[in-house]
Amino acid sequence: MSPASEAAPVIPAAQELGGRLHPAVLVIWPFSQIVPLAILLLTDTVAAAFAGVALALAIASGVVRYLRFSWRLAEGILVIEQGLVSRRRRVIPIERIQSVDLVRRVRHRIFGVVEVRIEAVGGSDTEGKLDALSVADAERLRAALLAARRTARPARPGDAAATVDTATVAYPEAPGDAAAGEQLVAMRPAQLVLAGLTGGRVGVAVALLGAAQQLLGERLGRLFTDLPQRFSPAALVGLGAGLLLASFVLSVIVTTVAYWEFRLVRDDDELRVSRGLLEQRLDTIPLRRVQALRIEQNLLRRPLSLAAVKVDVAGKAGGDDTRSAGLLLPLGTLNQAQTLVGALLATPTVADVTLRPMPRAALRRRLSRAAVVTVAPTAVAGGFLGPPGLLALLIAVPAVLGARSAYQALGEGEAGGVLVTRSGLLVRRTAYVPVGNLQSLALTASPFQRRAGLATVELQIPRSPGVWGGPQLLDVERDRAETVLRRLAAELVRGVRRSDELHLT
Amino acid sequence: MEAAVPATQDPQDRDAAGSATLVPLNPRVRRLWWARGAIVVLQVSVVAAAIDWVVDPPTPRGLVPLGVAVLGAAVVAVSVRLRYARWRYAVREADLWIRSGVLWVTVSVIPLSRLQFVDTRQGPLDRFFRLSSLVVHTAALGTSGKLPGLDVEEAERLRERLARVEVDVAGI
Repeated sequence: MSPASEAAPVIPAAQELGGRLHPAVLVIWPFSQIVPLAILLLTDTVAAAFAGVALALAIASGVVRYLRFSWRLAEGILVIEQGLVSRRRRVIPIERIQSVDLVRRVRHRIFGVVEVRIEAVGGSDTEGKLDALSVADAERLRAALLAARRTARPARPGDAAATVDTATVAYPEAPGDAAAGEQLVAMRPAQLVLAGLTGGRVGVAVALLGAAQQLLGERLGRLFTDLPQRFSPAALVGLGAGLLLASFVLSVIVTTVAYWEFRLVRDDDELRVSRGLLEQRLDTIPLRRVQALRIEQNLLRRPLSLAAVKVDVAGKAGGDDTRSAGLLLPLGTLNQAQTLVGALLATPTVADVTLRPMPRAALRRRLSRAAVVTVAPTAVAGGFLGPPGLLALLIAVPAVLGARSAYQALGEGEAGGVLVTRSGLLVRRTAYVPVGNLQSLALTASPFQRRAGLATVELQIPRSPGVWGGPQLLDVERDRAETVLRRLAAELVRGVRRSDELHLT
Repeated sequence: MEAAVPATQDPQDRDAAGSATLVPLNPRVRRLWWARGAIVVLQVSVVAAAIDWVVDPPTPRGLVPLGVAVLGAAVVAVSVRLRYARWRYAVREADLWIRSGVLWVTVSVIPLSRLQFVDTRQGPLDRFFRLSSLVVHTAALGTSGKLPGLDVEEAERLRERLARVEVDVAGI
């Protein structure tokens, strides 16, 4: 029943790898201390002697760490040992590895080395982190991990591809150009500028600035009497416009630098994402580790029919770069995004599946929320300010519009064994979940939902912690929720392993 | 296995397991929940009494802590009753169904082939009441299912049974 666990990964003896990190870590590790120390030194905050001692300590601890760090890949198991006082030994069986990322920050590129991040199921951090390897070593390690994974893949009838693919892909010097395989996405600089202009960063900035301006606008009269020379309305507007422009420019720069030369390549049964101008990355995701895909559209991109595509993979560390985590398409038309999702799931029909809207009761729920959001502040404002406080009733306009938009976002559908759900007000997310990837299901109903005859079906899949709550059918009719739950449960028990048939043509 | 669905108190609340026999938890779990609730109510009441002692409220001395204790006890009694009535589970041939919740109702379905590991947990209070809880995990993010208040032998038996299921790891 479980071929994956029986077929022990066979690694040729030649692919036994291991050793220490690249000696460049001796500089790369203290690097993070050097910069703040230099700043402190230059601003005369600390004495030179203090800085020297701190630097010496950092270097010494780096040397000790280097000497006590070793890694080894043999017989399908990656072992990383480290630690001075308490030795830590991390053992990662290859079949648990979800993705392998190669990262080259500027400091890595100076020495021509690569950081390797290996993500496995479970745990919240990066399971295997090798801070610096030579490019050749990193590439051999990546190839070995992936080759072994291919051998470990369960063999299916008539599957001729279950041999070790020894073709290694050279780490692209300029990311993307040396990569073999079928190029699915390539971003041009102009597209990156558009991505920056419509990115969430600007969305947040616009909202914040709008709110700030409104706040200042209300107090404008008082400010005007207090400080007439310093804060004229024109100056305020100018200040706001300047900040807005700056945030756009910043967003464009950040986006362009981060996603420079963005390439998504499919090679046999793996996806490779390469990107970055200063910090270069090459992420590898085996296609069968893809748990779900989702199309994201924020407020700015929706009217322009633009969208981004993200992938859900288990085991990625949350935190630092959740924004770019799992990004497969930074920006494209909605059509492109849907086509890409269809191609990656080997189900082209999902591209144009029509989503069933949720019952009107779902709209009533959102409208009553809008009513609460309007009435409560109005009551407070009216109580304190008298009749002028009733102006707070104007909140009703955005609240009702938001409620309608949130309702219109809701939808569910299915095509070729892929469940499609959509929701979200600020960021509209359409999730595509192959039924075979479901781990478990839950039907939940709050008191409000029960009174409205609604329920939510959570589609629980292996994924990584992050801002996203996971795919769910939000506010479906209670009867339908139960039908869906029963049907999916029966399908899971029957063992419809759709993922086994995926992407392996 | 194909038994009729036991009638539940709340007609709005048909169980979604359909043909499964949903069984309630061990009745002793109510004592466990009462005990836990009592500990919390006691703590809150002590704090209320301390505040009552310090700030010299306009109400008669002791009225507030007493009110807190009575109200807390009532909430505990009602919620334990509701929770016990709501909580049902069924271990079927190939999947596990759990219904739980007081205000927020949840029905979870966990195919046994997706189980990654199964724990039994026993705290000091559980031990006192000779109960044990069973926690199951799949590869999905977060805990997948929890069955509190099983008889110790029943929990062990279930754990053994679930651990014997052949796990399908191909998808993870």
